[in-house]
Amino acid sequence: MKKVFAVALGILTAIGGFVDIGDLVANAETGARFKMNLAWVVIVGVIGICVYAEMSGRVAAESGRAVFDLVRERLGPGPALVNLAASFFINMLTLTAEVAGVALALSLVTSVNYLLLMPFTAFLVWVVIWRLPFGLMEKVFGLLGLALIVVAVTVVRIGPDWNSLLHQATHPHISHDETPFTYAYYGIALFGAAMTPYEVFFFSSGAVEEKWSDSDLATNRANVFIGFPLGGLLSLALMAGASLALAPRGISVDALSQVALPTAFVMGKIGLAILLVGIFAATFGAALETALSAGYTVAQYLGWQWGKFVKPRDAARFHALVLGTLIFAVLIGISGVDPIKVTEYSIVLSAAALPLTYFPILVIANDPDYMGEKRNGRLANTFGFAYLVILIVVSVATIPLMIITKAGA
Amino acid sequence: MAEARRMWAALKLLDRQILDREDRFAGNVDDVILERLDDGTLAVTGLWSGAGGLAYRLGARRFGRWLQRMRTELGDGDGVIALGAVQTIGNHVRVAKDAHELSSEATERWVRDHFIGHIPGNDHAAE
Repeated sequence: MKKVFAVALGILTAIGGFVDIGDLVANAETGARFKMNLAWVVIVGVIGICVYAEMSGRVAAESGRAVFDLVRERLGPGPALVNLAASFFINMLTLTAEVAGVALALSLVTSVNYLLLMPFTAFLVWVVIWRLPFGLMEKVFGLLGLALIVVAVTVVRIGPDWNSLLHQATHPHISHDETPFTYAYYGIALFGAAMTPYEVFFFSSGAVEEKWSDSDLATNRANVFIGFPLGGLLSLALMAGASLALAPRGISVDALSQVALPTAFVMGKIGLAILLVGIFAATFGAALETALSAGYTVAQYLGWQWGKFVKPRDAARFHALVLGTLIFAVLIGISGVDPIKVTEYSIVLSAAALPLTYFPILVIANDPDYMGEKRNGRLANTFGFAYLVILIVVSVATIPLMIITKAGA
Repeated sequence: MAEARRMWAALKLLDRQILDREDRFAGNVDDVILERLDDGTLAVTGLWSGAGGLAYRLGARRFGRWLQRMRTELGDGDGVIALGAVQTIGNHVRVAKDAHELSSEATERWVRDHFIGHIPGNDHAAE
């Protein structure tokens, strides 16, 4: 019984944990602009993150080593350093976006300018990392994130013609006022939002630190394979809400408050309040994960002691780096950059950088020296290599599309 | 043949995570120290861990040498772990020493003593 409860809790946490600032912005934006014509990308992205997370969890459990440790050994120190620099930069952009997201959610409640709230938010993130029992916080934020279910309720309350929504999603086309380039660019944004690399850095580091065994792997497979797809459903609900409530009114999403508009239209103040709790929890949880990931990537590359289970003084360089990155992210945030733009760039560049970390993990997942009996089977490899092809295509296309579309303008 | 086998062992060591005797992470094997023995064969005599060794191996030789000189001048030792201290070589390289005794961990100690160690709560694990 206790076991069932643990699995259920894990799945609920995974649902809440799947959605972050990137998913909120990308799904609302594309819903308002392309209606349901890009819904299929969310599904491709969710399957992708399931494949990637399952593989890296298994690799971490079998080899006892996390992503960046293996990236360095497999690619050699030079290419791995370039990889590290790109991953670290993108992760910092994501951290900036998440902290801004928390601050924006708080500012909608308190009416205090979000720029003033950003340093405060970052301080809260740091205190949680420094002091509070992390497993508990992860569950609390994951469960609070379930408040995002209100976006699904929103769609039901609008009472849409379900057949036409489904038809749109299954018969995608590019409307006359869009070009194939903008369509593809926003597709990449959605893909990058679903498949963000920090989730995998975080996931595999946790697996190494908690010394996962085979039974932990089974539990986590359940979390990944049930929790992430349900989180993906929330993403689709966000997209549907925007396509039903914003697209007909010609409203485009260029501020976080507009993400909340559909819910505010049909559910009033109570609905809005619940949604803000969900947004706060989802972005705060992701801010914790990205701040820690900054430390994980560098510490694993250089072999420093890292982790949240040891005393901070015993992982001094790791904690100094996490704190420094948080401060730097806040400085970027309060310099006056548009948080929505930062979010867009972070997810699009994440998509472009995915092969850098995905490829070494795929290779190691097939290496009997590390994996023994637990190496990729036929199914894992079919998906694994199919996604390698998808990731490379996306990666090659991203920068040209960014230039052609002037970043989706 | 013997030489080839030794070189292979050296490659096997490179970029591995070093663990101390308490299972703490204590840097990576950034480079190895090779010495020519009296009989003319090359042998690994030590593991070099630290930014200097890494920069040197990545081709920034002058920068690597400068970093290495800085650390010796600061009294941080040379960052080399004698091969005799190595216990096992596998997925990790385990040394029969405490991380606090290793000269390669001097920067970690410096950050602890001058920064992290001054923040309240640094002595309690979060979980």
